[in-house]
Amino acid sequence: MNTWLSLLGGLVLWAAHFLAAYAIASLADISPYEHQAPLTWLLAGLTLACVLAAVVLAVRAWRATRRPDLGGAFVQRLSVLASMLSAIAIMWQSAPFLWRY
Amino acid sequence: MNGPPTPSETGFDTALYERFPTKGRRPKGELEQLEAIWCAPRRWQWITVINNNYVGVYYVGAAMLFFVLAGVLALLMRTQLALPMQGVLPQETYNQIFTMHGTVMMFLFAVPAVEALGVLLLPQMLGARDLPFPRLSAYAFWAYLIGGLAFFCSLFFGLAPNGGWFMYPPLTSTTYSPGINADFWLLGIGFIEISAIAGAIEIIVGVLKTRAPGMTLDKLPVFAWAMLVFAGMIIIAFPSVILATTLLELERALGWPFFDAARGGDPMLWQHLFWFFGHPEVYIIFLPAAGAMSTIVPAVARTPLVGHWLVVLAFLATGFISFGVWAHHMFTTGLPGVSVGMFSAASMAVSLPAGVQVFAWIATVASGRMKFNAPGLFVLGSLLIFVMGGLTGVMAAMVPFDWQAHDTYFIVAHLHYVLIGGMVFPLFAAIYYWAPMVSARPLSERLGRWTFGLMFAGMHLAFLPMHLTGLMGMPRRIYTYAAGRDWEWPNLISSIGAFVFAAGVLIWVIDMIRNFRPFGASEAGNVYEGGGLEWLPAGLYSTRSIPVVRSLYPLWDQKNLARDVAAGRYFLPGAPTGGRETLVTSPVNAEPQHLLRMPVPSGWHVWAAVFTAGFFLLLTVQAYAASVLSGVLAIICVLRWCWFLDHPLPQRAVDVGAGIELPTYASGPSSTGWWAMVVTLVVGGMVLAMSVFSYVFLWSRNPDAWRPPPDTASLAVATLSAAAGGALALLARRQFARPWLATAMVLVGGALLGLAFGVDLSSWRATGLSPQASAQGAIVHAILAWQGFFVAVAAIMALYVLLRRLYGYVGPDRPATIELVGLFLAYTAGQGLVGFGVTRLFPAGLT
Repeated sequence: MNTWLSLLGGLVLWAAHFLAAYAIASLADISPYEHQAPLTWLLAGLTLACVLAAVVLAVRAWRATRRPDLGGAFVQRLSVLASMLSAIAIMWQSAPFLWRY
Repeated sequence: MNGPPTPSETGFDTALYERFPTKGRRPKGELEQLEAIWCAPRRWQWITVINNNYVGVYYVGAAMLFFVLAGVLALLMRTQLALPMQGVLPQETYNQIFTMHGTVMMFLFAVPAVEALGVLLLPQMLGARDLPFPRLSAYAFWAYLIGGLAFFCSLFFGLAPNGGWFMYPPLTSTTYSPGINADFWLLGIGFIEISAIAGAIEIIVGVLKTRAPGMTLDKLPVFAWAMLVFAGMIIIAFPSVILATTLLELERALGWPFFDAARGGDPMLWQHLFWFFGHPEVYIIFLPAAGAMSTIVPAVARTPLVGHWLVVLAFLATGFISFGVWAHHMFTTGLPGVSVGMFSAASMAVSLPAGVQVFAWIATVASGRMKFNAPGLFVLGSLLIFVMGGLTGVMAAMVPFDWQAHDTYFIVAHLHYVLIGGMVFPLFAAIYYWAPMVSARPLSERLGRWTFGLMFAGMHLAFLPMHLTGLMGMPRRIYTYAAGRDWEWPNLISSIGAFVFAAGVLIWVIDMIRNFRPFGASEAGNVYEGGGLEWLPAGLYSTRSIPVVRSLYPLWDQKNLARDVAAGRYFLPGAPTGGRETLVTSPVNAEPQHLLRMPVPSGWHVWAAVFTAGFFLLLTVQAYAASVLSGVLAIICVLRWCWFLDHPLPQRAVDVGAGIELPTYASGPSSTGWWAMVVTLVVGGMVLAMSVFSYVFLWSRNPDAWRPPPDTASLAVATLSAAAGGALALLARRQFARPWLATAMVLVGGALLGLAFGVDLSSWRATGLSPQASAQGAIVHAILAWQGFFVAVAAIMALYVLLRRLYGYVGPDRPATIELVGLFLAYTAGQGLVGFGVTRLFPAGLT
């Protein structure tokens, strides 16, 4: 299970962040104007947390490449890149929301 | 990609691999026994056959039949549109034909074709004797074929759907689409998706659990990676359209207003549900084709795939990001600006993994010695066409551009470039490349080049001008147009192109008739010198022995592999249990875990498919009694089919080669049944998740109209009953040593689930909330109905366990049935708790 979590963790974070961002954006759409700023901060905080988590996953996977682990170097290197790309994708998809408000 | 050695996943000592290839001759009669066990079908057995060598070919053949049929519909449309104000097709017929063209291509050709390719190729590629549930594959095929043909025949009676392949309400509501045309789509397609999901379960478990020993994830063929992601995407995406079709059918048949704005519904809900499936669908179709491309390109370029691990990463990234793209089909519907921005960003992001794959293929072609044979030409053609379609896709991801191009022929051009470049050309490359694996003769190179040339030229002639007609303002789906808008020439050229394309397909059909000879005593073999296991010498039993895999391209890198495999010097050189069997291995490192006894052909899965199809089709024509009867017969057939499962063999462990002994029975996560049940429950969970989304969405449209839920006492009773039922079912799994106790726990658990459901239903009924009166009533009753369906299945399962116990088939030596039924009941309990919680506590719990 650890192997799959390591491999897919970053992408799962991306998906979770996407759904949360969609929910927050939908909420912002039906909320009064004074609620926009708190929702923006909520998404900003969530984005930061997800990016940090993705980076942590990438660092863990990077360290695992140096020791024997299930799935081998192939899986760990995939995990590193997948997590880093997910971190970038999370920032990218937050941009429209954070830019607008 | 070298790193430190990997530890064992299962405790299996991988040093034992060094015993292979074994020395010396195999016992006399071993090969003959294998051939007798995996013998070819005779007479009626051609229908009941389950071997993937047969079912895979049937499946691909049926998909190609639908490709040709839908192509004929395209030719009819292009004939109508060739000149302005033509009268070849009346408007209503045209509506039915364009709807059927899109629907058949997407649901009856594209998805089944790639799934069929998986069923045909994966066992050989993975080194398995067959996929783990061959009867499920055969059931999926027959259900698809019978349902698909019946659905297509609706055209001949003027009953074909006519609302476009995405069937938007309110156009498809009973007000604007009276009659049963739309019902054919809703029930027919919903049914065919069940077949797709069955195939996806087979593929996931097959790729994870039936790989040749040593085939770790870095040595997993790239096509298998693609199929794994593809099947996972089906499991996540298809439940959404199953829910959507069910809701719309409920609205049409019973008047439950999910999409009727006058009663609090919202047609936008359909669009969300449909496109949550519909956009990933494009990648669902593309990924297996990309996997095939990534396999064929190295073979025709004679060099390993450049950036193999990046391609795998691209598959995974596509599998996720493509789900963040659904609303880019809805940019013109008035979505909030921020949401539009997010979906636009995701739409641009998803082009990156596709770009990685394209660059990997180009780099492989550039670094190798490309042979411009038929598969090679289709590969190159695919690259060019797909890149063009991808670029216009990025254009359409830009919101302001999409506002202009939406619902014009520009989008028609874009989607055909993507689908033909991304799926049709790779599929033809695959057919030319892998035909020698199953046919005594390869397809003709000369005819293949003609096919490619005509299809390539016809494709551009047909669809390149459509970009212009679209930009000139020609909308999709119009059955004719007036002269004088400069649309005449582009339309005429498009129509000529369509016929040129069809000429290419016709030549391919001729080539198939002349040269394709499957099911013979021998095959043409590795004509294109591929490096995968599928090119090992094989019979109906797949390979004579299952090799230890030490490379991504074992045939290129492992010396004498083909000779040693054919001589039976690897795993499972015979049939130690005397029946059909294959190795089950661990999901990450592919370490041998146990021997799986495979089923032999019988008619039950075919009858199950016939009656399942009968249930849906009779429902469509409103023959309700006959439909229910057909449904009951289908259930009986499935139960009879399952009756033969979970019977331990007299030999508890057998020698699978080189003195290595493996058990012949397994339960829990090491068994294939456990994996299949978990994946099935994920499907149920996705339907639930989309139902919850629908509930919240409908509430957000009209929060003031939401009525308070029933009293909390009924909630408490329902919650406690469901929790107790689920807990009992879970505990029953640990009591398999005491079979009567375990059976009783399952029965009581099932009864408690029924009680919880009954309490919930009756308390909602007591509030007077009618499913016809409001969107809240409709969605609450839909969630109730979904839970009711699971409770009914749980009841059947509990009674099935009781029956097996009475026959002595539940015992300490066979825990699998109790375990799997327990899992299902526990899930049903969890689903019930989510349903109670959402419908009772949201939004009431927020105030």
